[in-house]
Amino acid sequence: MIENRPFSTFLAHLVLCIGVVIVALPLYVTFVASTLSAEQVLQSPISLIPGDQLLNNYKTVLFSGAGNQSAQVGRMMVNSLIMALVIAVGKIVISMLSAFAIVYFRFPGRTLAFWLIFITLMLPVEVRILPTYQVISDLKLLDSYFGLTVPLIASATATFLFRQFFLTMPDELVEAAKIDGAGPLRFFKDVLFPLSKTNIAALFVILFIYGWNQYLWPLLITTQESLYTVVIGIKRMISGGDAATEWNLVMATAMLALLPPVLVVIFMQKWFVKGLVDSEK
Amino acid sequence: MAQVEFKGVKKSYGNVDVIHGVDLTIGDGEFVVIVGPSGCGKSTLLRMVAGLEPITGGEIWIDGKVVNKLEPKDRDIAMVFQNYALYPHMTVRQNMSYGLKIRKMSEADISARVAKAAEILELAHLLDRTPRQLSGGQRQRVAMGRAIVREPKVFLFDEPLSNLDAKLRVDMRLEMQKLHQELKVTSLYVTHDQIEAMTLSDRMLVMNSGIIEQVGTPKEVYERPASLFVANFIGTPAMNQIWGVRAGQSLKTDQGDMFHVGEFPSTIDNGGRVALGVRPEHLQLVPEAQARFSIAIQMIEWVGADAYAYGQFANYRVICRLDNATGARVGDRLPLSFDPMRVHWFDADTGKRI
Repeated sequence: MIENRPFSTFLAHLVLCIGVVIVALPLYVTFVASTLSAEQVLQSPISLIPGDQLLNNYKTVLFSGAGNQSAQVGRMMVNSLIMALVIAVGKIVISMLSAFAIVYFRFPGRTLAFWLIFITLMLPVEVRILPTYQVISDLKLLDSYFGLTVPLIASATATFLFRQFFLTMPDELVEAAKIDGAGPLRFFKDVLFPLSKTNIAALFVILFIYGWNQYLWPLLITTQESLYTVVIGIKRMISGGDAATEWNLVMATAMLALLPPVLVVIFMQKWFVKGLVDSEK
Repeated sequence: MAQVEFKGVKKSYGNVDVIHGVDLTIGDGEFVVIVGPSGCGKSTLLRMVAGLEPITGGEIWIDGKVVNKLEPKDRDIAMVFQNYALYPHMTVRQNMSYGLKIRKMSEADISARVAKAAEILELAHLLDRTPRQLSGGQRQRVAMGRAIVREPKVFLFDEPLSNLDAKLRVDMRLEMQKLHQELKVTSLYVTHDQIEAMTLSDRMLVMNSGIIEQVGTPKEVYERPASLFVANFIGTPAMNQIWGVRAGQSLKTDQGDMFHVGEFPSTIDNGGRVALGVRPEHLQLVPEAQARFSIAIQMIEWVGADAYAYGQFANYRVICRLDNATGARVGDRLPLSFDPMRVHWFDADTGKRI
């Protein structure tokens, strides 16, 4: 399509620019605030020019903790990372295996199993959070990485996605592998897994961010500061009542918390788009 | 190399029988083509040999062993699929060697076999490409290569040329013939294309709704079709058929038209209902006085060397091959005759050859 309408081009760009400003401005303010000193950040209106406390602020939050708590943000980042990685990897492994079973094996109750998984799609974390808490607490798994991650691993969405993907595989591929002498596990490892790579990458990005952003569950399950995730940490830094909140440090923490998901998206963008768009068959 | 035997092989899905008992022996090194319309059970039969479909009844023997309960990998067969079924993420070399690797063959043996197959199929320069970088014909070759490297007892082909364009199909057909002459491996080939069946097979097997209609060399099947179905299915354009009852030395069609036939087979009684079949190339253009019947040309199809005139006699469509030089035109009347030795008689009720 060839278009030569300068005014509409200008208008389109203008709208886009306004959109970018709306999205980017809060991020910019956060960044600026994280470079100011504790006094500067409380001035009104807040300065829009970065200050000189950048290194200081980040050093403080990373290594000595901030606000009314002693936990270091560095520690929280590690906790968040562990949680996000375990959830993402765990979800992918479990859902891929269950989709494999549902699609490629004929066993009694296969349809029932599929529907049970499917029905859980209707129950988000918030709905089943109390019974899950009860189970974890009865198992004495409160305040542990296990309790933090495992209950979030089961995933109907990912199972469903993999099922749909496996169903698009031509039957002949399975049959060719059978004739070549590949057993089910061999087929999974040599054929299904390599072909699912782009899907896995796309899911990993989504699930990593899902895990990283978890708030309610870690809030319930952790009481020790050494297990806090960074999202919880930010909340704890904002003190209610009389104590002053060191907003510059809060903002620095927020910037740090933003970083890993952004990096994951940037580095996996190519794969992510590929996994969503094309099917390699 | 091995013999393949079917002993009363049956297949049903639930209550629906799709193959009603097949008895057949395929000799060592023989190339047998199974041909039939879609849904006649030809692919099912092949897949039962491959071990991809359980056998409901009867036995299949390969090289003197019952294989009913054996898994595909233990039957020593190789199969070529219609859509090639290459592993998309593997290179041509990996595709071809995958089966051997699983069988724990040594690296040296594998590369020797792959090299040999690649040479036969002229794939040597493509070994490091992935399937998606290949054309349809090349993919087809890789699929064949994957079968060849296994050096199986039996090759199974499931409509391997159906996804290729017309010209490539002809080329590959010739190549398959060459390949078979070189390797001499027992082969079972399923197709719905009668030309493939005629050109490739030592013997062909015509199937219709789960029943074998006829087994024989292409020449036998063409010249002596065992039933109306075979007569109709093999040959393009299809054989002309005229139904009627014998009236002395003539045939009286259901519509009342009569024409002189001359000799009837002795098994047809006067008044007996039959179908007369005659191939378009066996209808001759004769002077009016000698004509057995005539048709008015409704349509002419020019196909290069020949032309086919379409017309009607009584209620039956009659197709006649014309010499290109005849100069006949739509609307002309064609007086036609045939050599009584060249006609086929079929029982009107059972469709069987008389």
